[in-house]
Amino acid sequence: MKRIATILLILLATIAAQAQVRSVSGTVVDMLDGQPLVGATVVALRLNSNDVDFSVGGTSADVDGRFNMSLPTTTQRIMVSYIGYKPQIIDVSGVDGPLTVQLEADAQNISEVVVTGYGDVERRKVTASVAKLNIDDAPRVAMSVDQMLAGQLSGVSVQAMSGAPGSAPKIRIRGTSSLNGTQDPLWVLDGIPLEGTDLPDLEENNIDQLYSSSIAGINPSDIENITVLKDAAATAIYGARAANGVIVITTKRGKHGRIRVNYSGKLAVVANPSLDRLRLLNADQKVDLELALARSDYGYMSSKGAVARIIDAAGERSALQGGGVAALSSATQEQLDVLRSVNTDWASVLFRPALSHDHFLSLSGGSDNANYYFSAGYYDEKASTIGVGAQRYNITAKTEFRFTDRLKLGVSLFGNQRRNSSYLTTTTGFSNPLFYSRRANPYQQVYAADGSFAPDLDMQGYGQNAGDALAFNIVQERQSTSNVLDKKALNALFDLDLRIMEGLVYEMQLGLQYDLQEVESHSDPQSYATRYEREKGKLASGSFIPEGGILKNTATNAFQYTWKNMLRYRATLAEEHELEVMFGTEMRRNSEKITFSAAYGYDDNTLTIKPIIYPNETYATGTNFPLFRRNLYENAFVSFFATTSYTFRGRYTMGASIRYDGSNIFGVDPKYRYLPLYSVSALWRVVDEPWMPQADWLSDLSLRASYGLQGNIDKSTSPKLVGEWKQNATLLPGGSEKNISVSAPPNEKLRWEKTASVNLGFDIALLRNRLKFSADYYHRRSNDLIGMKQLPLETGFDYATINWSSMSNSGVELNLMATPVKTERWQWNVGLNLAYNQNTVHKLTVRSDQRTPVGEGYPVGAVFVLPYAGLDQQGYPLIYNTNDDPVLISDLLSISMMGPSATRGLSAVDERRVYQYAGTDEAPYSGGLSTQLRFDGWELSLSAAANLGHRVLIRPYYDITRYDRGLNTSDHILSRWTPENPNGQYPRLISDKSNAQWTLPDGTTTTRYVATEYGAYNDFGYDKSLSLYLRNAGYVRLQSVRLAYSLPSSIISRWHIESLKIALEGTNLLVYGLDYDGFMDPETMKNPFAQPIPKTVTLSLNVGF
Amino acid sequence: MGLAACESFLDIKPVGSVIPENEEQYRALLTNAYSRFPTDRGLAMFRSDEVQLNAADSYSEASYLDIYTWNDNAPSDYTASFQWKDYYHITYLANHIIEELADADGLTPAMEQMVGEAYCLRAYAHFTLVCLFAPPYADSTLNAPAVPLSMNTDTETTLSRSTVAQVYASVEADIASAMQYLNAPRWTGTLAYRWSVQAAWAFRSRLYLYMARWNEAIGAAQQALALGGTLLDLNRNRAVAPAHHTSPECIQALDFVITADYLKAARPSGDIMALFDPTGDLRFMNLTVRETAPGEYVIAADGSHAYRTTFRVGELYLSMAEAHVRLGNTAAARDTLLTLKRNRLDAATFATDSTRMATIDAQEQLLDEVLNERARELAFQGHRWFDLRRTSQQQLIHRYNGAIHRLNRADARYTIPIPKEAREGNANL
Repeated sequence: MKRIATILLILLATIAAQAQVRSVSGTVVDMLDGQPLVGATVVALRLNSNDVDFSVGGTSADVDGRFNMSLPTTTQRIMVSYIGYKPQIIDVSGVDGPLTVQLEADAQNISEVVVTGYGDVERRKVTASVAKLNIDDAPRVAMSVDQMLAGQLSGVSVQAMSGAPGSAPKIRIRGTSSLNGTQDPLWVLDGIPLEGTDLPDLEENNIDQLYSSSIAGINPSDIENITVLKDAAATAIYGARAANGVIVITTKRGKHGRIRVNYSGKLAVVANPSLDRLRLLNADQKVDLELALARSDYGYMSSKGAVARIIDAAGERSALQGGGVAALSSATQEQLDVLRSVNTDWASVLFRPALSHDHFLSLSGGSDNANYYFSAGYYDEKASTIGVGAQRYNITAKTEFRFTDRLKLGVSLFGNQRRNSSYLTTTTGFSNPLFYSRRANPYQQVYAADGSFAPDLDMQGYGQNAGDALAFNIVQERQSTSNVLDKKALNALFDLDLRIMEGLVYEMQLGLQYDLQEVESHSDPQSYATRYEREKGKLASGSFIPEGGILKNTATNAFQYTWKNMLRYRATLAEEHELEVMFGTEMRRNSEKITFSAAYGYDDNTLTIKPIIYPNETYATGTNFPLFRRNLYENAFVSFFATTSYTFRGRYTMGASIRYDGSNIFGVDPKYRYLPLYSVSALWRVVDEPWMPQADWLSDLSLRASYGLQGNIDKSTSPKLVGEWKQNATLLPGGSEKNISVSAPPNEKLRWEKTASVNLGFDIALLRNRLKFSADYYHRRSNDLIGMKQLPLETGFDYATINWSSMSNSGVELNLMATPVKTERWQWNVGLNLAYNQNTVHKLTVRSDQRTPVGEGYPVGAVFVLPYAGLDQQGYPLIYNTNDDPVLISDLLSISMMGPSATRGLSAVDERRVYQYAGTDEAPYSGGLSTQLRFDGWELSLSAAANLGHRVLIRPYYDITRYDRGLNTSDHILSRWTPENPNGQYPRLISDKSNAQWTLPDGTTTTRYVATEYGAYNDFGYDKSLSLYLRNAGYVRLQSVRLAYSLPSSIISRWHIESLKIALEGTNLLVYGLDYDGFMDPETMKNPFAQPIPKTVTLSLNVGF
Repeated sequence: MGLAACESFLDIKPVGSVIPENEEQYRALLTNAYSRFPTDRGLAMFRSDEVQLNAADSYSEASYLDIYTWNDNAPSDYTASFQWKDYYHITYLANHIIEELADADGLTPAMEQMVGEAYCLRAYAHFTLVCLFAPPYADSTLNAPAVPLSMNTDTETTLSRSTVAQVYASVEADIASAMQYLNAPRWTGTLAYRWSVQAAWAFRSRLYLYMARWNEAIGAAQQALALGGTLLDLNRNRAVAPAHHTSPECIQALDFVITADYLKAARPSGDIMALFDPTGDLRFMNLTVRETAPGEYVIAADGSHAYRTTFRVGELYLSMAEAHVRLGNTAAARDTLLTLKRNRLDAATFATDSTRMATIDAQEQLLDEVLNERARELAFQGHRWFDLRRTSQQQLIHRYNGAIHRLNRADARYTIPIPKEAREGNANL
C-alpha cells in the first residue's frame, strides 16, 4: 500500500502546483524503540481540514527514515503515517529545522490495511464486513490459534467440543448456513487456503477419533494477526468454499533493521479434574440400588452387578425377594458389606495433575534487499487424563527478496511435526476413561487382593461369566494399549510481485501443502482390545487370530497446490477518481491417499508379526479383519475472478467482485461444472463529507452495504447411477468375478445450493479513537440447500443427497472498543462484542411419514420436546397432549402391541404436533469481553466469552426401560418413583410385564397391557425427548486472567536485553453455566465421552534482544 | 487460458468409479447383487428345532441368544440383525437392470439372461422377506400385511406393506417374466449361484408348495428335473454331501446358510439327531453332522461358501412327495419318497424301511413320514424354520444355561417382527 501511495504521490507531484515553495525535512521513527520507519508516508493537508491536499506532492521516508519534501508556504500541516501506527498531524508552519516524528504503534486501532488474501485493501476503502484480531490481544495459552478466538470477535462463535489437547473447537461465523455439508470456515494462511481444516463430525461415538486440524500445525506465536471475512462482499472472491466465512491468518515477517531475537517460554499446570460434579453414586448407594432392583420386578439385565452375582452364587435371590436384606444369610450380608466399604476414587485412578511447557525462539530483521524471519517452537501439553497429550515442533522460515524496485519475491516455509497421544477405544466404548469414570461401579476395585488386575465383570460387552476371556480392567487396558497420531506437515509459499508499469502489478502466488499423517493404535496381547478381536475370530479349534499384539495403522498422505495469477491495476484520475481493477485465475488440485494396514500377532520386541490363516474366503474377504485398505481422492478446481473498486473523492467507494468456480464432478456434463458467484458493495465515509463539522470528537463515521451470492454443489452425486469397482467377488470357492457396488442412488434433480447475503453496517469513532463502535446487520438466505436425507430402508439405501431445504440467518453484531483511562502511566482498555444470530429454516423436504417434528419455521438446531407433565400414581411419565391434559404415552400415541413390538396408532402428522419447540441448540447470543489495565510495566488483563440462549436435551439420567444395573449412574436414579417412594421425582424403571395392575390418572384401577407403555419407551425411546431432560446450555466462561510485568528498560538494558516480560495466566478458571448440574462443563453436556475442559495456570517469560 | 485445457484439468475420473453401461459392467453389478444376498436362512435356523446354541462361546451368545430364545421384544444391542436393507438393495439393483435392459433393443443373449436373473433375484428377495416377516400363506392370511414390494428404482416414494397375497402374486409374476428372458438351462461349478431356467422352475415348485398349489408344484418340479441333475447315490459315493455345490444334485447354490459365525454358534439339537438312524442313514455322519470328540457333534458344513445351497434335486423329490400326499396320491407319494430313500440309506436299512413304508396308507401318517424325511434331508440347509411355519407350527423348546424357553404352538413369534431399524425409517411398516 505504501508503494502505491508513493506512486500516487509522485504522479500527483508532476501536476503539482506552483509558486512559493519551502523545504521540510525530518526523520520518522518508532516512538518506543527509535527504529526508523522505512517508507512512512508524508503528505500535506488542506487548510482547516484533515483532507489530503492532492495538489501537493507527498513523499515517503527512506531507508533511514528520513524524508525531505517541498511544500507551498500556504501549507500549514502535514500528516505522517505508517501501516500499523497512528498517523500524526504536525503543524509545520513555524518549523525550521529537521523534524523528528515519533509514531506510536497502534495495536488497538484497526490498522489501515485489511488483508483479504487476494490483495490488501486500505481500510478507508473496505466495503465489506471484516473483523481483525491482533494476536497479542488474544489469550495466549493455547496450542493452536483457533482455540484463542473464543469471544474475541463478534459474529464468530467458538465452542470447545472437548478438553483434549489440541482439539479443534467448533467455529461458526454468522451461524450455520448448511445443513449437512461442512459448516467450518475456510482458513487461509498468507493468501493460500489450507486443506485439512474441516472437522470430522465429532459425535458421541467417535469423539475419540484422533484428528489434528492443519490449524494446529501453526504456532500461534508466528501469527501477526487474523482477519475474519464475514459478509459476501468479502468472501465472494473465495468462491464456493467461503460459504461459511473465511479466516485469514497473516504471519509475522522480518522488519527492516537490525537482528531481533525473541524468546518466550511457558510452563503450565493443569489440575486434576474433580468428578464431584457428576453426582455419581457411592458404593453404599449403589449396593442399595442393586438390592432394591433385585427385589423389584425390573428385569432388564437382572444378572448384572456385583450384588446379583453375590446373591445368585449363594442362591438367595428368592430369599431376598421374599424377605429383603434381612432374609439373606450372614455370609452374603458380609460380602455385601465388603462391597459397601470399597469406594474407588476413579478420578485419581484415571486422571492426574499435569505439567505442560511451550518454548519459542524467533530471529528477524531486514535490509534494503531482503528481510527475514525465522522461528522454532516446541510445545508439549499433557492432559489431565493419564496418557493423553500433544506435542509439536515448529520451524518457520520467511524471506522476502527485493531484486529491483519492480520485482519482489517472497519464500515462506512452515514445517511442523506433531503428535497427539490418546487412548484406544473399542466398539463397546467403555475403554474411554471419561466414560468409564462415569460408569464404573464405586465398589469395583482396580487390583485384586493378590495384586493382579481385578476384572470388571460389568463392563463386558457380552458374556458375564467370571474368568471369561474378555475380562476387562481399565488400568490394565490403559497400560497395554496406545493410540497415537503423528503428523508431519510442510507449507511452502512463493510470492512474486512484478510492477510492470505504474499502477499495473502482476502477482503470482504458489502454495504447496504436504501433510503426512499416521494414526497408529497398538494393543498388547493381554489387553482387552486384543482379546476382544481374538474372541471374534474364535472357531471350534480356537481363534484364527494369532496370539500376540495388534497394530493398526492409518496413513494419510495429502498434497495440494494452489496457483494464483493476478493482474492488478490502480489509478487515480483527475485527483478524485480512484480505480482499482484486478483479474485473476486460480488453479488448485489436491490429492489424498489413505492407507490402512493391520498386523496381528505383533511382537513389539522383534517387530515381527504372525500371518492370519483365514479358515475360508468369507473371513478373508470379510470386513471383520481387514489387513489392508486404500482410498484415493483427487480433486481439481479452476477459477476465474475479477474485482473492482472505485472511490470518488475518497468518500464514496463501490466494489464488485465476480468469480467462476469450476471443479471436477464425475458423471456430469462439463457445462454444469462452473458456478458463478458475485458481490457488490458500497462504502460512504460520512465523516469526510465537507458538510460534516470538523470536530475533534468525531474521528470516523462511515456506512457500509453489500450484497452477494454464494453457492455450492454436492460433488458426490450424479444424475446417473455411479458404481465403484470392488474386490472381485467369490460366491463359490474358486470363483472370482468382477464386482461393481453402488453406495448411493442417483439424483437427476439435484440443483446448485445458493446463498444470497445482505450486509449493512456502520463504524463510528469518537474522541480521537478513544471510543470506537461498529454495528452490522446481516441477512443470509440460502435456497436449495443440499443435504443427506435418511431414506426408508426399502429404497435399498440408508441415505440420499437431495436439495431439501432453504433457510436464513439474520443477525446483528456490535463491537465496542473504549479506552476510558489514558494517562502517561495508566491505561485502561475495554473491548466488548455482542452478536445475535437468528437462524430459521424456511422450507424442508419432509417425508410424509416423518414422526419427529418438522423444523420449518424454526432454527436448524431446534430442540423439540415432549412436554413432561410429571408422573402418574404408578410413576409412569405423563405428557401434555394438544389439549394440555396429562396423558400416558400409550394413550397419546395410541400404542398397541402387534406381536411383541409396539405400533403407533396416531398418524405421523398428528404425532409431530405433540412435540413442543423448546429452543435451539446453537447459541443465538454470543459475545466476549476483554479488558486490560496497564500501569507502567504492569498489565492486568481479563477475557471472557459467553454463549447464551441455547438449549440442550441431555441424555436421560437413566434409561427407563434399559437401565443396566451393572453400571454406575448419577444419584438422580435414587429419586425415581418406586412403590416405596411414591413421591419420587423421576420416572420409574419400566419392566416388560403383561397384564399388571394399572392405576389411571383419574385414580381408577384397571388391568391393562402395561407392555404398551414399555413398548413405547423401549421401541421408540420417547423418554429421550421428555422436557424433563431439557437444560439451558448458556454459559459465561472466564477464559483468561493474566497479570504481566515488563521490566523497565533502565534495568534490563544493562544486560543488553531490550524487553523482558513475566506473566502469570489462568485459563478457564471459572465457568458460570446456567444449568449444568451433573456435568463437567456446560459445553459438553451432550457428550459423556468428552474430556473435561482443563483449568490451567501458566507462567510465561518473554525476552527480546 | 484455453477452456479446453481447463476441461481436461477438471476431468478427473475417480479411481474405481464407473457408470455401468456395457455387458461386462451390468454383469459386475448383478454379481454384486448376488454377493449381497443375506444369510438370513441360516439366522432363522436358530429359531428352529434344528440347533442348540453353543453356550461355550460368549460372542455367539451375544449375537444369537435373543434369536434362539425368540426374544423379539427386548433383544440386546449385540443381537444379530436380519438383513432387511440388503434385500431391498438387491431389488434396487435388479430393478435398475430391468429398467435399463428389459425393453432395450438388440440385447445379446447374455444380456437377456441377465434380465431374467434380475427378475428372479427380485422375486427371490421378496419371497425370502415374506417367509421371514409375514404370516405363512393360507386362506386366512391372504389379506394380512406382509412386506413392501420394491418394483422400481424410485427412491422418493415411501412403500407400505403389501398383503401376503400380493407378495406371492408378484413373486409368481416375476418368475414368469424371468422365464421369458432366461436362456441358460443350468449353471454348474463356480457359477452355480446364478439363476438358470432350471433354478426358476425349482423356485416355482417351492413357491407353489408354499401356496398349497400341489399340482403346479409337482409340474414345476418335473420341469426342473427334466433339465438335468440326479439324485446322488450315497451307497456309491459319499465323498461329497448332497448339499455341496459341486454335488450332481445342485440346481442353484446362492443361499449362504451355514456361515462361519453360525457354525461356531450352532450345535445340532437332540431333536434333529434323534430323527436319524445313525448307522443306516448314510447322510448322517460326516455329511450332516461331524463328531469332534466322543459324543460332541457339530454341523458338517465347514462354514465356507462351498455349502451354499438354494435348490437341489433332493428337495424337489420331497416337494413332489408332499404334494402327492396332500392330493391323496399315496402310492405316488410313497414311490417318490422311496426313490429318495434308496439313495440315502444303506441296502439293509432301506429294505427294512421300504417294508415298513409299504404298510403306511393313512394320509396323515404318510405326511409325517414325508415331513420327517424333509427335516433329515434338508437339515441345516435353511429350510426347517420355514417348513415348521407352513406346516405344524408345533411347540418348540430351547434350553440355554439351565433356563427353558418356549415357543408355543402357533405362537405369534413364528413370524419375525420387521427389524426395528426398518420400522424407524418407515412408519408405514
